[in-house]
Amino acid sequence: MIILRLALQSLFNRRLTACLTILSIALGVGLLLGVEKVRTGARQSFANTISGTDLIVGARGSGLELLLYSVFRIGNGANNFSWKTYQEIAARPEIAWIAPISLGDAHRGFRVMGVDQAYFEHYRYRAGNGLELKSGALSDDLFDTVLGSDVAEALGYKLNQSIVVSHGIGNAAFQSHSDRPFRVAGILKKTGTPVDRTVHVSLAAIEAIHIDWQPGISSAKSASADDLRKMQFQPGNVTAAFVGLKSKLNVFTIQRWINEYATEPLTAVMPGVALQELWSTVGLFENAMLIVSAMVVGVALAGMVTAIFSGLNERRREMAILRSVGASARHIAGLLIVEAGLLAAAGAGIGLVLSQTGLRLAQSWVDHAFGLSLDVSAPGATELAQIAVVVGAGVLAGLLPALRAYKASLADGLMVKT
Amino acid sequence: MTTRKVAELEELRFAWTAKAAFRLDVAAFSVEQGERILLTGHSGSGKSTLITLLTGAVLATSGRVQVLGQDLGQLSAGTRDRFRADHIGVIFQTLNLIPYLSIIDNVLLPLSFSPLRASRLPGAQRQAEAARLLERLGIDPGSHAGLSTSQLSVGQQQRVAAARALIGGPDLVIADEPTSALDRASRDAFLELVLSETKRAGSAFLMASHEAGLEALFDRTIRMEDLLIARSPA
Repeated sequence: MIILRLALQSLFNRRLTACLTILSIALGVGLLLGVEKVRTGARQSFANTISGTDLIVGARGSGLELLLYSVFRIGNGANNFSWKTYQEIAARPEIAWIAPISLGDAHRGFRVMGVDQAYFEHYRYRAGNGLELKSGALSDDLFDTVLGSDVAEALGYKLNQSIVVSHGIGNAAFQSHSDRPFRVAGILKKTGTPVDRTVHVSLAAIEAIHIDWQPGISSAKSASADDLRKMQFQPGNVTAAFVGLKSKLNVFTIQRWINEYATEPLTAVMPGVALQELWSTVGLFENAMLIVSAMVVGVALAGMVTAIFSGLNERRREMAILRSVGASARHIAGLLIVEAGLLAAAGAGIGLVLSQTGLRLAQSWVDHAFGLSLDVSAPGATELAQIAVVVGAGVLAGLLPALRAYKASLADGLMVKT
Repeated sequence: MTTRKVAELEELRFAWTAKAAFRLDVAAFSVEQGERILLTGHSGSGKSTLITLLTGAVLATSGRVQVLGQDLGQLSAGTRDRFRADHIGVIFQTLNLIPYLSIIDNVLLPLSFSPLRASRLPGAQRQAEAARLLERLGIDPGSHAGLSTSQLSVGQQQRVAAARALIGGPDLVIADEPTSALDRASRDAFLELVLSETKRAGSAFLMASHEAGLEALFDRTIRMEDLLIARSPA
């Protein structure tokens, strides 16, 4: 096919301009595909973080915030609710299981979460996977801890090592409960969820480390760890509780009952509903990102058309020569369209490679920084469709200079009139 | 020698645009088979326009343009382009070559648009024929093979253009001031080579030039002034 060969050689001849054009298209396409991948990846990751839980209960407030701090460890629970209330909820006959959690402490930048056995037993992620130990054992000793896999890996912790938990959520070393060290009793398998980045202790331990302890003052007279072990700790309050019901049919009944609970203001949300709320909140931002990256592609294609247009005048001679050897005006227009198509296709292809390698490179960082495990799968139908749209748009954009060259070569004949 | 008209114009009228000051009115003009014609006239007299009309790249406003007995006005645009590719080779004044193609690919270019001319040269022979033409025209294809077209002198570029016009044996080779950018010595050498090669290929050769002193090389010289119908004063 002579036109394809001419287009390739012509582009190769102007390779600097061609490369810059391809690069700008590639960046736009890479951004577009990357944003799309991060968007779907984030949704997937969020949706995968919790499964099998029917309701999350917390102090009165926004359901979305409750979901964010209880499941994703984002933000802080504004209030706790009392152990007594918790027991009343737990006593409801519709409830199959309930797992209370207590947040508020941190260990070297990782959240410390007070849990009981029910949490390890019932917490599910990604279509029903449960938490499993990689090493060690779940322990009910007051000062034992079970680490998420990222915590152990990032801090290099081994089984039976002693660690110190600090109050508050920063990485600050001050205000640490250094007189009450914990022993690493178990390390969980990697889940790809915020569980990996959590230090689990017993609910009782959260109470215990705060005995005799006031902000800023670590009492010299504080009770020893062994003394504390002898004490029976009853949690005073909890931050939230995950609830599983015997029958999904009861979910609205229980939710209403909790939301209208008289003694204490509470909120109960269904995780899926709260996620929907999250999507509608971030949807605007996502759309803005998509629009911006689509516009970057648009600008790159406009740049390509500009480059082809500005080259037209100096190529009129070339067009006349092609006409003289028998090329029709259609051939001339075809040449320019094929050139545009090749540039767009090359740009889209490189953009795909860019987005794939970029995401692969960023994957572990994103996982670490945001707790999002992006699933960088091989390009699927969506990517191919997007690339097809970009190449199609490139070809359409190429029609503009092609039409002009078509008219010019019909009018000029073989003469280049200036 | 049987003569057949390669090209024929009758009652031709042409204007580039409706408002253009320049108009071409030609009563009759013809080129016989294998004939070598020099078309002279000062610049702006319409030589290039006449040549362009013969190639079918533009159509006459009225009158008839026939090439090999075919009325170009009867053909669709695409068919006319194919017809040109099949039967006519064109040499311009300067800048005849596609800058991004190799010298050999420039010569082979018409074959891509004309299956008829390509059919006269089986695939394996094409390169050889291009090389032969280049060599006949004084370009050593071996030593020039790797050069880009911009590395050739103007005279060399014109010879490559001549090889391109001749490849596949078109019936008519049209040249528009092909020598005006050449010095006298190169001009004579160039014309000699092109004339002998067109003769060898049996192609008619029509060349427009404003230069004097070339008449002896051609079978016939036509002055543009004689062709044009005197327009009645307005």
